[in-house]
Amino acid sequence: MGASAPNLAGGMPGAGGRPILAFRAGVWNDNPIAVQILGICSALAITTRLENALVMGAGVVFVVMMSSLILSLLRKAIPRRIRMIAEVAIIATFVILVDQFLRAYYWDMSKRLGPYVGLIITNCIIMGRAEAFALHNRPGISVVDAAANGLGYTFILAVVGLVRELGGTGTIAFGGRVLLEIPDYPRNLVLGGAPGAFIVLGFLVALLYALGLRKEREART
Amino acid sequence: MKGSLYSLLFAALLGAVCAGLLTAARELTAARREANAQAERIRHILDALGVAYDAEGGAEQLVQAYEKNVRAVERKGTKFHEYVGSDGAVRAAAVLFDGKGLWGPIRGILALEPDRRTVRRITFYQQEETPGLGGEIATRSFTQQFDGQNIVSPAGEAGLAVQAIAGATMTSQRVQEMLNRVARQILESEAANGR
Repeated sequence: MGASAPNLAGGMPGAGGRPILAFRAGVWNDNPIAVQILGICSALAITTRLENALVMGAGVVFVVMMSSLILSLLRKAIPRRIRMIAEVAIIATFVILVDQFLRAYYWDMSKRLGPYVGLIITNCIIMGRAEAFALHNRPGISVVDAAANGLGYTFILAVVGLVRELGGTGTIAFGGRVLLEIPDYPRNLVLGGAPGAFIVLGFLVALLYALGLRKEREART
Repeated sequence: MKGSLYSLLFAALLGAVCAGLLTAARELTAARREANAQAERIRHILDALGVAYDAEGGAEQLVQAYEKNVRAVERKGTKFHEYVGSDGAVRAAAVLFDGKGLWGPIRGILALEPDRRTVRRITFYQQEETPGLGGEIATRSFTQQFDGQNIVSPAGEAGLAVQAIAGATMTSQRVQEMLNRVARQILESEAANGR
């Protein structure tokens, strides 16, 4: 791995050809939320419940993989000057497809996620991966990179959603069934509300750094 | 110049492909989405009327429960969904209403006791008000203030008393207008029937 300055967008040149490294970078070393602090809006907004976090994560994984694949395939054909418009058009198409799919087959979930499915279009992770990686790399590795970043995003969302749902309501529910319940739990409005999202995410990022996230970054640079 | 023409062609082609994909997806899912929206409306009506139904069942069960228990009657342009018990007596009646909210449309259901004066329950099933402020209208803690209210005030005017939400004056006002309008509508529909 060549020494490189911390790259905000994460696309390390050295990782370009090696799936394992690209995967590790997306999930851990360059985790889009914990390290790059991208995609924060949805991470804060929909993590009131674990189920919401996982469905949102799945949507982002799908969109980022598909858009990275298509953009990588088209990378030599896209005129440089209008590349961002092309990126947005392709990303938006996949996001609307996901939205329509949810409306048709997962109506309740679609209602619960509300406008945030549509807002995947503006999730910086997706355009970030397109700009930093897919437009400069072959399709195979681009899809790996995209999947890793999507999973890295989903992982953080799931942890925050778990803490907030359990801490806020004392229960974990999935598909309408309660899986886990703490008896006599007093509702915690701070964790369930917007401030809780900031607090939990802040502590989680601190914890990940304490667990060695920073060491790996420093070792790399 | 050549580059510009290429960019233009590329953009047009990309746009056409994306639009084609989206149109196809829309067409393919249209029936299901419409069925979902319909089932959603029916579920809200059943909830408001207090009709029991299988919550786990799909859209078809909802439609069945509706057709079995509910009769839709139109009186002078106002559509009532009446819950008819097995003895043939009306147990509750619901009227759908809507209006402009602060950010988007607000839709709700007003369910009445058989006397058609006393509110059984009001629910707002669609709203895009500010979360935490106007959005509170969708919560039970806001709507329970209407339970048992008469749609005619002691002074004889049609309307309901709305306890405004602090910090959501606009939403509260619009809800007030909406409820007064539907209360008037209900009274007028009955006047036509000679009640």
